Amino acid sequence: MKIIFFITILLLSGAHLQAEEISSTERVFAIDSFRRIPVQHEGRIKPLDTVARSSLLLLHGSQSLNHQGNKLSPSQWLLEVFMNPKSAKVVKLIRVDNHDLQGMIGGEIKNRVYYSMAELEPLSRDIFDQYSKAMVIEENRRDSFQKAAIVLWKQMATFLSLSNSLWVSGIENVPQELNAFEREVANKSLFSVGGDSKQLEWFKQRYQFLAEAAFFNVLYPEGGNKLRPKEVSSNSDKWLNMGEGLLAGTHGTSLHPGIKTFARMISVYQKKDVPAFNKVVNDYLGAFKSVFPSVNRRINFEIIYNDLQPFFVSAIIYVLVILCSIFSWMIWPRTLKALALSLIIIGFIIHSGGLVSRMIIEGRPPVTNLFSSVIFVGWGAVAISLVLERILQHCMGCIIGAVIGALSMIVALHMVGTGDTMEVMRAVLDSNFWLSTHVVTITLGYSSTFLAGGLAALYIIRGLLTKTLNKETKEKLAKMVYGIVCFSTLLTFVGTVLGGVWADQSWGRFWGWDPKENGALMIILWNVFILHAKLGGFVRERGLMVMAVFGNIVTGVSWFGVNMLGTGLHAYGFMAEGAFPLAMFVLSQLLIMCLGGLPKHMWRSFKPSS
Amino acid sequence: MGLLIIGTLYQATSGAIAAQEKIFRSFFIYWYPDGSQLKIPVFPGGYFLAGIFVLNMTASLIWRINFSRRTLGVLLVHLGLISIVFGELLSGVFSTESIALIKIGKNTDHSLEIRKAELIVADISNGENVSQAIFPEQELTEGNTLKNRKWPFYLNIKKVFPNAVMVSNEENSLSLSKLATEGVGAGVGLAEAPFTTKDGEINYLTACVELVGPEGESNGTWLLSSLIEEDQTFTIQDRQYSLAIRPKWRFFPFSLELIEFRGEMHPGTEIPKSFASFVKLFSREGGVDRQALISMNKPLKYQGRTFYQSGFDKDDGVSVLQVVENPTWAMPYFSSILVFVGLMYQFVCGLLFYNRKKA
Repeated sequence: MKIIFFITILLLSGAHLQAEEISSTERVFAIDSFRRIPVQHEGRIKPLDTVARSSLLLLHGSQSLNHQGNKLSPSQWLLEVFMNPKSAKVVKLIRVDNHDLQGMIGGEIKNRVYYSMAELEPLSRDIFDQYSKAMVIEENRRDSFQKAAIVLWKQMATFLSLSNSLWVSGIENVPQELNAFEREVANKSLFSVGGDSKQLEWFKQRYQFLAEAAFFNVLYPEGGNKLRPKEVSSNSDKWLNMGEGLLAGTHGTSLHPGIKTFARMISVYQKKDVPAFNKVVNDYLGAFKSVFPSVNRRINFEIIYNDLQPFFVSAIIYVLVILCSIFSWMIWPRTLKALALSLIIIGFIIHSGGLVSRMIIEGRPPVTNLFSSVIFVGWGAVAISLVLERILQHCMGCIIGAVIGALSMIVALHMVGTGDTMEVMRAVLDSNFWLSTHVVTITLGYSSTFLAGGLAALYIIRGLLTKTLNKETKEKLAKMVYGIVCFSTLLTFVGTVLGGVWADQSWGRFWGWDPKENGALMIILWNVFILHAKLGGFVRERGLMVMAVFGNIVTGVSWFGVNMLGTGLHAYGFMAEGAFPLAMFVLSQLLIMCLGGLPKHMWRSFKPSS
Repeated sequence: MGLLIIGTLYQATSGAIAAQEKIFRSFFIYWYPDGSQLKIPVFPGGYFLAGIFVLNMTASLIWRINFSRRTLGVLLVHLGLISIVFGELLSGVFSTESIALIKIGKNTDHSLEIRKAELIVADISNGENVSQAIFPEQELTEGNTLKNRKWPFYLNIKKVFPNAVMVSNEENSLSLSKLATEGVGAGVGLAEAPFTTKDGEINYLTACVELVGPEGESNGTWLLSSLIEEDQTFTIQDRQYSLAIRPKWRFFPFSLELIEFRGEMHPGTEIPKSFASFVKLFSREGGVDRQALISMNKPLKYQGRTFYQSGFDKDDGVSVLQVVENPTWAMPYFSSILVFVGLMYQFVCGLLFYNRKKA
């Protein structure tokens, strides 16, 4: 039975993959090739596809764009921005949620969320004004309008930067300009008396602007990585952006071949010459592959990762698991249980695949920033829950794992809107050893605390609302919760101590009363309280459950709350927007705790059968 | 736990150092009602709670826990916890943090405790530093007199400002330079500033002192501050002296020379990828002469001092090293191992017990 489900689901996932492929015929621009063009951005080499996706998310709030009845993929949109800015500016692209800001922009349609650059550009002065005023104020003292103004300015700046990355935006005839530029440079070197001609001055200023405005660096070092040709990441060499490459040409050295390539690319695209465009792009990719073969492999791998969207897919699967588990308690128990188990295993494999892919692409241990910590906590919880399912049976392990897994994915997917989640590590945190020991241990500690709390919540809800909490199940659950709390105490303690050792090795202070440190300490303390309370007889089963649920609150607040405070050494994932969902989570757990406190006779499971 | 919550929230508003001093390293947290001089203890502070904790642990060891093979782990854990708390107390008392600033190509034999200030008077006749007298921050209070038996003058401290900030020039109405009649201080733009506890901000102690000569005559009023970097000098009885307030110096019995600074940003960004100072270490007696590389996550340990790469000032070409002297550094490691062993023992025992029951 389980095997049948397994195979079916795998086939379905395969079908999902197929749908993503875009055919590269002679009549359609080869977007699939274009999006593989490598660029250097924020210190990392990445395909244009990643730039497109993260920029579109930042500007539009989603990874696809509707324009005049067509659905554009991120790379299609980016291509338009580079080659055809006039039409790109008319698209209702930029997402603005703040009401006051919407009012300031105006427009006839009320409550409109998406605005085009053409509408926003005339208001640049006003928007920049609001942005400057808001930037002067301390981050946690800004109101929602000020925060929205800052975001809007950044969105507009990002668009302008992108449209000026391959050439000056709006250029009509690139090859003509390039020829004129080359003539001027040749003239200068022939008649080297005096200063630059006015025309050359004009070019220099123009390309200086280009150099400063570029979003990414696109001209890779032609000689490859001379020292280590087989190096997986050429991250140490700085690539030139288009403007820098052109300016370098004014000193008499020959122009980087990439410049000519992109000039031609823009020109044939504007002429709608599909075969020529496809050829230029594919030739360029071929040239890159011969110079940096291993980076090329990584880029293609990243494309697969982007397309598969493993975290999104596993989130959906986890939700299905929750549904299957719940229904399995009502009808078709054997079938649905088997289905739930197969689904969660597949979800876990995809989830793990996503984690491993990130590790390969970044070259780092699994957790490097807040985003990856959230993904990892979900992964750890699902992993442990698979073990639990073996012990507890009846989908109890599955449902807890799936709930934590799904919730963590939802949180993580909300965090992608601020840019590339695979950012480079700053020097002070750059230690793979400590990242793989301290960070992994402590996030596993978070996972297990959530798991204990989840089981406890299950106990309370089952006991109150159903008759299924019989003696055997009660005792099993209680032992599980107690066991997991022990495990969690050990992990969080070790993780915190490792953090202290890292700090001592890095800046000479084992403990600094940093908010994150205090938070970790609170989790340890609470776990220890639970153990002492149970051992000392201060609470029995129900009390244990209620305390374990409170552990969810302590962990959630300590994990995210400190990032919202914005101070201390750990405030690397500042997100004030998370305050509301966090508050809701805390309230939900408090509610469950109160339910747990209801007198025994109100629990359906404890009522004597009449 | 309540203490941790209060402390963390306080830190968010008032900075880490203030939180450490007022909440974690004190016996009580006080409330200062406006308008009165009262200090009302409203919540137990770090030391108080730690004290109770240690007493509790010790009591539990003596009375509650029956010693047996089964509870050996618990015993270790509690002992370990006591020593962690004790260790934190000791490190609070005995460890010092300071900053060493070295310019490329230059060397230094001292570091600066930037949160403390001192006033230094040096006899620099003949261009050399013949002798000097250092007065610590505690002695720099209004109305105090600083004297030294060797020298025929003394200093009257007229006014002390806990913090100051540079302003445009001495004409600025807020400038304290009008209080000075002599020296560089009379020509700088320096204004009073409120005492700060924010992370990353330092208080620059500033004082106005009157120099009184051998016959009791006034030799002018001088403005001294850590912000004033130039020497202020005066001559009395044919000897030349210099006068300054500076951050407290801590000397090492050796010198560090910065040969090269290797800083790398991630390409195309301002995010530091690696910072490293390539230094030469030599002792005055000439015993040691070696080179070392101090980078982030890889400090240099020598003679009880540990040097960490903290940052780099691009404009001045100065490498900033954090210097920590902590004789009790080993305690947290020792205590953590104790607790870890204890926990593992209990955990493993618990697992075995559980398995035996099942079978």
